[in-house]
Amino acid sequence: MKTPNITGTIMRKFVSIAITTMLVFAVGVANGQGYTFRVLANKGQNKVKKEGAATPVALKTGATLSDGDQLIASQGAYIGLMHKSGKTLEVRTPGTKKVSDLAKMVNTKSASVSSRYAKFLASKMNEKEQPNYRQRLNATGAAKRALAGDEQIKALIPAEDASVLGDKAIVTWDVLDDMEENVFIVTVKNIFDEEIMKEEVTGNSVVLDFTSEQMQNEEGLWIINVRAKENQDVSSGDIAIKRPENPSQYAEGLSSLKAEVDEDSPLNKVIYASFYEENGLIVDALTAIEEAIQMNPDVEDFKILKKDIIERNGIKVYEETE
Amino acid sequence: MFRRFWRDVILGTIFIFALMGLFGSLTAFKVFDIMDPIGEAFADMEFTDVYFSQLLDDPVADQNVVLVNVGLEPRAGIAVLLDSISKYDPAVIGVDLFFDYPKEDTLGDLMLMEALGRVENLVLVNKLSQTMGNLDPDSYDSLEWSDPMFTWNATPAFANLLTGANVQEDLKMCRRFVPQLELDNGENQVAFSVKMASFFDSEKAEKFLARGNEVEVINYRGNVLDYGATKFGNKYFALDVWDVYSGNFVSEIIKDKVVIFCFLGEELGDRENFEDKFFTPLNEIYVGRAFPDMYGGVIHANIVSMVLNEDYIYYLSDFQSWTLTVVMLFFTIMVFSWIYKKLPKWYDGITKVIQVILLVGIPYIMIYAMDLYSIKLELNILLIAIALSGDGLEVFYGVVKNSLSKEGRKELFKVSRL
Repeated sequence: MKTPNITGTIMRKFVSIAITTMLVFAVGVANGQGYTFRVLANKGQNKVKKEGAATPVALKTGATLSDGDQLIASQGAYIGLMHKSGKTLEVRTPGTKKVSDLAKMVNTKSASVSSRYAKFLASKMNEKEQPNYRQRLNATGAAKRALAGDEQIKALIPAEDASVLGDKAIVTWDVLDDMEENVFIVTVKNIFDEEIMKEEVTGNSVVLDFTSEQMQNEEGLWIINVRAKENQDVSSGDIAIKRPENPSQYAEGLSSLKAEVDEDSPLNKVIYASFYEENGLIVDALTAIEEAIQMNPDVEDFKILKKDIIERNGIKVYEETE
Repeated sequence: MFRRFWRDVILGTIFIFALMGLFGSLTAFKVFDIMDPIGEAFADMEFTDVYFSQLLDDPVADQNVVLVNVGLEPRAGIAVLLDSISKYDPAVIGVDLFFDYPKEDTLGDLMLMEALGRVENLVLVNKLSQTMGNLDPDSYDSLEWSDPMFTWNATPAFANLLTGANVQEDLKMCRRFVPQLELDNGENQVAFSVKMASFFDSEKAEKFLARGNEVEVINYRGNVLDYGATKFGNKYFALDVWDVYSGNFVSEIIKDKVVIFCFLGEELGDRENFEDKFFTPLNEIYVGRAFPDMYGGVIHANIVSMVLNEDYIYYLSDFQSWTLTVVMLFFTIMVFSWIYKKLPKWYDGITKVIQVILLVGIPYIMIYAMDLYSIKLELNILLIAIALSGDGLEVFYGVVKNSLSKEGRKELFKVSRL
């Protein structure tokens, strides 16, 4: 009869436990990569504001992004991101995006073959043609040699998620250098496409008072359009401003700021602008900085600060000569 | 009785194939082409196109390959780009560009020559070619190269991809490629992408070539900045001219990686330039008219990924495909014949239901095989045969078989005398 080799058994168990521990550790290291996204490709003047940093920096291909960072996509941006799971995500709309929010959009789970096939068959069965010829006239048989009307007036508001907290907003816009029109018609519509305000303005800004009777709006959404008075084809296109989803979240910070800083000096306006921008309230930030400019029109620094806010938030990229 | 049943099944199977052959020959003579836009649209389509285009599960990105767009940079500019990248020690730089003849810009030529000379591991494309007098379409007897001043430091590799195009400017669909090819003089040439992969991991490249397949199916992973032309428009690091000039990238993405210098449009994401752009099975529109979706350099990147990740695609030979088709059709005809003889009143209904089940089920098996085991089953002929089998078998029994039997003919003439 063969005697069991106890030492050998213990050794085998020890080696087995050691290997298992090493494997678990190795998997842990592999999964615990210290970033949320890595930039695969980067088109446009995009920036990233690292967690705790005061100012954003240019986004580099290959750079890593962590949960606390903010991605600032410029107009026309196309950013390819790779999640730590290896799955990819594209950012093609301008504006500031929290990396943590982007991470929620990544689907790290794989769908089964059956569900993908069933989904495909279902989508094919539900595919609808557009029988109405009126819905298929989006393309022209012509080439473009000038900017379209919607591109000739650039309203300086984020194209997406433009939230406003204050009772008042100063909306400004840029026009092409060779544009002679200086008189504009500003219209504001509600969510039902009803015109609730119309104003003729001279110059490149309008003050919107959300407390006025005509602007009262239960839905908290205003659709703004700026057109040249003499040429109605030249317009900004429709841009929406809305109330933030949870205004109370800003109350504490704003009240403590108000307790310490008055709103009556241009420099203090800059401080308010900074507060609003940090909280993603870009319309309020631009309003505050515009007020500072109007109080002291000769101070170039305020104008530069305004341009910085505009660029940082992907509203417009200024040429260096501007 | 039992023998007659099996004889009918065999003849029925042959009849269905004959029917397909008849349709095929009519199509070959273009008889139906004038009224067959659908057939035309499907002519250059394989079932796996649907898989890659619509059903492929989102693949992970490959961090071992970096694409550098040279845009419309002159040779001097490409030299600067090469220097800017090669200083970060990539495993290999593959240049997917031809530099024919010296140009008037001698300084630019010299800069490029020196920059190429400074690259430690350089692979430069050439093209398998046929000389004018070579009348054998299967034989390649020469290579087209860049000017020798640019090639002295380079490992050559051919960039030819397998498409139906006669010239570079034609519309091109690329599903497969040739991994290596022997020239008429016996010299073995290796594909550009496989050669680049060999610098990164020679064992994996050897293993891939050892499969010995004359043609390999490309297991596509994805594209770069394609604005929705495919579902996977973002699977590789991609640097534009400006990124490299301004150093707007993290150097660690270059170190020890495969870097491909290629044309990806005037700028990254250029959708209007079709030079060196191909249709691939990843195209969101998998049948009919569509825009080409992928630049040649990205196709090479996909092949490099396939080789390095050992994500090969296995496929059946023609003989295996035909055998499978014949066997499966035989069983279908056997079941249909049994129903025809035993349940004649139910024949139409039951066979139609079975046909629908098979026409949905077989593609599912094809997708399943591709997804789980990377086996490409091309069973399109079987699908057509099954689609024809129900009614075809009725024609076989009702017309062919009756007209060959005395009783059947008698019955027909009896009716005609009434």
